Amino acid sequence: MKRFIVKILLFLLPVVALILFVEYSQRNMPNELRYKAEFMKKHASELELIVLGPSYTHRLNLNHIGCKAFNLSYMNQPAERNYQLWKHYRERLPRLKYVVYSLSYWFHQNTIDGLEAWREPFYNIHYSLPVSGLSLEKRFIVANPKIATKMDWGALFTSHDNERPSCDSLGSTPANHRDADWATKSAEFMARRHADIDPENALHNRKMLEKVIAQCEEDSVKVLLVTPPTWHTYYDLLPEKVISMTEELGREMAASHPNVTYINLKGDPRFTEEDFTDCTHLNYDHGGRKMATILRDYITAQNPAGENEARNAIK
Amino acid sequence: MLFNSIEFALFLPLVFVLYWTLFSRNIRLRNLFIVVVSYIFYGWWDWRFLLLIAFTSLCSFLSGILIESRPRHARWVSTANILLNLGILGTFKYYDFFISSFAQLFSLDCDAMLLRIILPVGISFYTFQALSYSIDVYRKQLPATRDIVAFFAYISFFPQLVAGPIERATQLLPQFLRPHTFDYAQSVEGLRQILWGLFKKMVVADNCAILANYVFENYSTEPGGMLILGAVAFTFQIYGDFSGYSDIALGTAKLFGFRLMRNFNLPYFSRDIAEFWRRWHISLNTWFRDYLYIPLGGSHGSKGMIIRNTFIIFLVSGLWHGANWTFILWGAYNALLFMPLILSHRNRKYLDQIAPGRRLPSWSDAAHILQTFTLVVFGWIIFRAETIGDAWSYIARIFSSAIAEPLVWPDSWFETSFINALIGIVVLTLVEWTTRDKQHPMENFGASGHGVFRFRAARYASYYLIMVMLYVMFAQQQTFIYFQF
Repeated sequence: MKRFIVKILLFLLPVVALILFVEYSQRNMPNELRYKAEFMKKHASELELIVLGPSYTHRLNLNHIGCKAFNLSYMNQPAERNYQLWKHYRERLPRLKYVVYSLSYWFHQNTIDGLEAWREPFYNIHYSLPVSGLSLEKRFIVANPKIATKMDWGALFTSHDNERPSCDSLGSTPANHRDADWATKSAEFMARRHADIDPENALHNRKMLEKVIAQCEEDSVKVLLVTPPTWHTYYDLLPEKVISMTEELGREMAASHPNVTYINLKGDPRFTEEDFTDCTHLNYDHGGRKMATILRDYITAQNPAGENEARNAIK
Repeated sequence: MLFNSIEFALFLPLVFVLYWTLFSRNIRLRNLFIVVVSYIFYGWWDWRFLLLIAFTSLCSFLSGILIESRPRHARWVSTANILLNLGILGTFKYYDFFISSFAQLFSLDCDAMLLRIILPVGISFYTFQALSYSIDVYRKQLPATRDIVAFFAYISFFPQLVAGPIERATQLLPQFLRPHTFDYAQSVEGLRQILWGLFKKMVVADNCAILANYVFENYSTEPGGMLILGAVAFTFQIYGDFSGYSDIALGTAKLFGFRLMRNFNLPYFSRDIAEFWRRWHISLNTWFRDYLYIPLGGSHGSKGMIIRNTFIIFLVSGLWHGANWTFILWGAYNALLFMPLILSHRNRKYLDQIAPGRRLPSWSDAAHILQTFTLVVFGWIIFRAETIGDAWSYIARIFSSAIAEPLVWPDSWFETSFINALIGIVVLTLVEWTTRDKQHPMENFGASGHGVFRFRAARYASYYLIMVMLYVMFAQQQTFIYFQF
């Protein structure tokens, strides 16, 4: 038996070494979430506006928003994650005036344990978010094979710009490339995916949104709840119930919370073909800039010049 | 906890070390330890159902003693135990199904009558295992045991508790009544089998699951070629999943000095449907053969009786899999395929190994294998579909003009899963074909006859390669299909 155990341990030694190597290298890989967490560590106290949401607000070009802003959006970031980030930084945002919150058609169904659950350890590691329970998948990248095997070997041996891995200096992704069939590619798939709503998920995400809104209200922070613009090849395929569910939620939040403004950019004629990379995402240079400009105008309209809305320390 | 989970990866070594260092010398203590860890293993899903498995175990244990000590009442005791166990199984598994089916037939509202109880994991397996004990005692094939700890360990033995193999008391119970010493070779053999089982589950089954799930959910809009892909994906998903689990169960049992029965014998290399049913889920099919088919008369008697018995066995087998008319239809479908063979006494034509001593099957064998495989795939469509209507629509769409529509991958993740599944299936098929004379591909790996693998470096390289494949090609963790049965 001793011989058996010794042989097993010797056999597993290179496996363990590889696991440790993969975990270490993945944790130190240039990574957008790491960049964002480090930015927030240094500059959170200066911010007047933050953006929360998935990829639909990830391309928001905050250079045109007109105030000190940072984008905490990320791919497929669900409502619960938005709330975790909000909760994590709430006390560290004394100058915060606005939260731009993405209320897309994907909002209702997108959950923390869905398709993108494998990103969780990145959030927990880089943002130092608290993790409950004994889950190894939430704490260690190597416990999620899908991401651990996405190692960029080049990053290990060549110097990388640690400052801006895949986003601009304000946390937005400067994506502009699009395919020739951008308008139709994935339109049907996305519409179908976003139409498949589990009522329990929708209710849970709504609660997460309400928590952020209520706490913003306590802190005198305004919330710009935005349904981002999408191209008609996508929303024409969405069931009416999904569209109305989203718009009703936005209107309801605005009606019941004085600090909320609902901005529905679906079918907004200001957004044209040149603003999109695909049927559901804006590009950075045109669409992202345009959306930022529109939000800036809302902010300006709500906040007359000269008024100081600096928030007192909470509690 | 799932076999392919981090929890089990921590659980197993700990139990293994404790077992051999502290508990293996005393039989009673060892069995008690097995009961405790098995209950922890089972309770990890839902501790509430521990009472149920304990109750089932107790009833069967007591019935064995009563059957033996009161021969005049043996028949009644055995019948009562069978009815009690099947009643529990029926209530948890079939009550809601039959009530709602009945209500649907007569357009009644049955909402208030439904129990909506969760199906305990593994209930079909351990119930049948408990029943085999009491029936074997009644038939005097096995003396009743007075060792309650050993009996509880037999029922709850964690490697095979939740998805089989369904062990016979005559084979497994005696192993709990005798001492075991650590066997190095057997333990190494066990680890190899676990590794192979994990490959089948994590690389083949879980990647195929992604394809199959997508296609079956969207079959009404997907092209016919995608539907064929989906059906084949499910065919390998269920095989990889279930036989992979069985391999892990057998391998795990070997680590503790126990031998479980082989549950799959390369079923997709079968040359006719009768051979398929001798090679697929062997423990269940032999259970039905010995406890239902043969008592009904088996294949003796008139043609009418043979037809009746065959239909009963396949319909019950279908129903065993779940509370849905699709499973019953699947059973009927297989009965119809089986019928011509048994009526013409050709159901035992292929008892030998496939293509012995040959690298490849003959053209005739290859054609038969392909034919049988195709029939089995269509059966799995019925099995997997949500409703009979869905199954019919799925199959009809394959034979419609949709077959000419071009294939379009929904997204890049689909393509990745497809490639992983394809690699897994090719490796699985090649390896299992070339090692078809063995219980599992890495049986006696170090011995001569394994070519280059008689060298340690080659064996170790293959272990590491499989582990890398497990890690790199692992899709998304999927529950074992047979947990729902």
